[in-house]
Amino acid sequence: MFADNASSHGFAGGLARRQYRGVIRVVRRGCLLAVAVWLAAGAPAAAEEAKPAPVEGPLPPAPAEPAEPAAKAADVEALRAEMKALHEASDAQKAALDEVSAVLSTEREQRAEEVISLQDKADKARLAAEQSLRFTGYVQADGNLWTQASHDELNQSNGALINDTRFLIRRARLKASIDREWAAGLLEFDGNTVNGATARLIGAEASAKVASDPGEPSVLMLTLGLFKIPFGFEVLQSDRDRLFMERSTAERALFPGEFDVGARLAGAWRFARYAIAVQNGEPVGEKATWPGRDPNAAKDVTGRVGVETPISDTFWIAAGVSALSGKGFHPGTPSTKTTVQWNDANQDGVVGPGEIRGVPGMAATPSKNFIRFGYGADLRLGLTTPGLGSTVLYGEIFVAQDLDRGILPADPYGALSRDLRELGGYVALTQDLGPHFAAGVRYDVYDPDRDSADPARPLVPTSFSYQTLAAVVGAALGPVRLTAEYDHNVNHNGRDSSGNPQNLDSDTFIVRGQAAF
Amino acid sequence: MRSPPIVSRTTLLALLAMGAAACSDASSDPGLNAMFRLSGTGVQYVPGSLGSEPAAEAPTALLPNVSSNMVFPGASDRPISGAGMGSTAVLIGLDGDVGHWIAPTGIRDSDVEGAFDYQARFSISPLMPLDPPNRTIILRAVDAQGQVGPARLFPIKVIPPPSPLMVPLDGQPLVVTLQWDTEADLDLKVRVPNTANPDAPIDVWTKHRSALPTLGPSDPPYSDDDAKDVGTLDYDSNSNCVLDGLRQEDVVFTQAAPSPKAAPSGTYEVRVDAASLCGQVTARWHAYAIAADGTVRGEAYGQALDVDTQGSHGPTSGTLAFRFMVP
Repeated sequence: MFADNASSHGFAGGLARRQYRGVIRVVRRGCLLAVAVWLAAGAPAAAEEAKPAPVEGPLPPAPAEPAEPAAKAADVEALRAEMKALHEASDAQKAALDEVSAVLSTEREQRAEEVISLQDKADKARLAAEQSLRFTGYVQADGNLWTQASHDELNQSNGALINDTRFLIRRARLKASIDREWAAGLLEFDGNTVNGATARLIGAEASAKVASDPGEPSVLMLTLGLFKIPFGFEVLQSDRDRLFMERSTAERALFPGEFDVGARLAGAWRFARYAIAVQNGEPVGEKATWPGRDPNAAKDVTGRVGVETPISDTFWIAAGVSALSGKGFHPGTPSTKTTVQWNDANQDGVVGPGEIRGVPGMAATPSKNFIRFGYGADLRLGLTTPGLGSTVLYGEIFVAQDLDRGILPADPYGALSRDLRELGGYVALTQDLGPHFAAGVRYDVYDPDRDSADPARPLVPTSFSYQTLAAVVGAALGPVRLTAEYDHNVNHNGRDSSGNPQNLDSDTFIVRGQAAF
Repeated sequence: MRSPPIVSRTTLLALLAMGAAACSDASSDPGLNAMFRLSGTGVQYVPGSLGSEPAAEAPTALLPNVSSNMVFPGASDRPISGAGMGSTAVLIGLDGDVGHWIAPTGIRDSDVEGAFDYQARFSISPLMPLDPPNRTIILRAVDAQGQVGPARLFPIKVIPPPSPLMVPLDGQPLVVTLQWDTEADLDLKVRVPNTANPDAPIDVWTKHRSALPTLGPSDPPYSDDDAKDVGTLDYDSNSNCVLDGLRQEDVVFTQAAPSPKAAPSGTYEVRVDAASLCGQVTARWHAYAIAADGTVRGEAYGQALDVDTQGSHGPTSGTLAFRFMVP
């Protein structure tokens, strides 16, 4: 029992073992004492028995028979009495030892029970700590120190600010979670000042799962709520862990906001990982229609299967493939009223005949659904170098159709009257530089319309593609991290003096302070 | 001891009755997919085409009162009224449409004995095809017992939507058109050659809609005759985000050479300027120039984003869609 305890509970088992050894020592010492006493008492008699009589000259004749028995009988009686006394003493000591042993045994059992009780209490406390409500969170405070696209002006069409050189709270997340044997729950809120002070629900999960070891993912977990779309690596990567400021352009286009409402089945078995989700298809960061809601009854089905496994003590690999299938929504237009306009044709500033024109009210147009889908593959390779830290090379590729919901929202029922096929991806390398520093570089590219150069439908501009080269350095001390990133952005959003597309300068330099708890 | 089965049977019957009632419940479909749409007090949409097959002799529907039987795709809010003899409602629909409508009759007709009137307004879907042009509105009266009377047919003709210039766009010597898909405020801007002063081309746009050179401060205004029939921007659609549903602008030259008001020879530039997205995320546009014989002189597609709304919105701003030559 002690041995079992010792193997599984270090502190309590050690105490029991020490107690056990103490008892053994007491018993051994008692036995040794008894033997010593016995030897000490018996040795003179034996010596006397063995001791030859002094011999002086030739052997005397044998003593007379009657005298010897009387002396020996007295000696025997003395010895017997002595031995009896010794036996009595031994019995008394044995009785004392038995009494001591009984006391010690009782005490030992009591202490064992106390130890077991303490173990139970410790286990319960640990389990309670693991299953109790946990609060975690982090703050990312940004300084957009330099943004090329910023100007001290307003957008004349909608009054929006053009300046983005500013300080802002990019993310302030607070998460409360609970993890029981068969169930789990999560509630996460986000605050930021991107478009003014905002607080919003970003995650809410209610899960039932197959029990797993503490800290280990379950083999099967069913979740209902608001959670990240299970597609690729970057979508699921925590913002607090990512070294780069933001996700890649393609990811922000296809999965804006990352979170969506729905149901998910996910799990892990050894090195295998899987997740499949049925969601509304309107991520919380979507710009086109109704983020967080759903304009159609059709749901998006998304899934990812992958592996995560170490290859050696210093090298690991993770990879996966993902797919999404769903239906987008083309919103109809409302009916309108009759409108009238004045065209000052003769430029005299006076309303003249034929200068008033009207347009009759138009009937509403119906909404429609359209099919959209996407596929992705992700790969990560990690290497740990002693003294330097971790090196991670990773990348992802996206192929999709009519899935853009963030950058150039796709709608096959728009004026183009065709599907938009998207292609994007990125490759990134991050390197730890000792325990406190890290650096990384990432190149990403995204083409929201691979058919834009189709001469059958001449598009202006002929390419809508985006490219970004990001370089980041960071320093961490405990829960605090400071990072700085420079982004070189290439796009086709600018216009030259002739109205032709050209790059719109939009490089940025951002510093971020992060504190996690 | 037998009561549980009786209760179960009763429950089952009740459920069956509820199911039957549910099957006959009204649809919440707004009917926007129908080509012919009706609105008014108590009007209800019913999915499914309204046939004209023979039925009972009564009740009968009278011919409707419609201001014009010429309709165009997108025609909105046209009055329609009529009556049904001894009816409680009139079923109204377009031949071959995906649904039809129930127009309750409530008011006793003052002229026709036994007739009950209905009043409603109808619209034609902007997606209504122009071919075939001749269509039929079907009307069938229904009485309180649900008996459907014979079909009354009312012919209509579908015509192209009118231009704000009140001239047909097809067949004009030169038409430059911009169309887009969302309720944004896009502007068509056409740079027209100036034969009088080639160095000062004329920018036709929302603030200068005629292909006449801009007047100087001391110049007298053009006469009405001068301004008449020159190339003109027909309308500034969704101007200042006042939605008109047109989402189309045209610069139209109605005069052909050798008229001095014909489209001048030279190079034309067509630009698309996103004045405002009016709360939309994007606007996908299609611009093209067509000659009288249907020849496409230039064409381009594009997509306006929020970034396109920044900056000035003057006569030469916007994305260059294409250039074309007029010989």
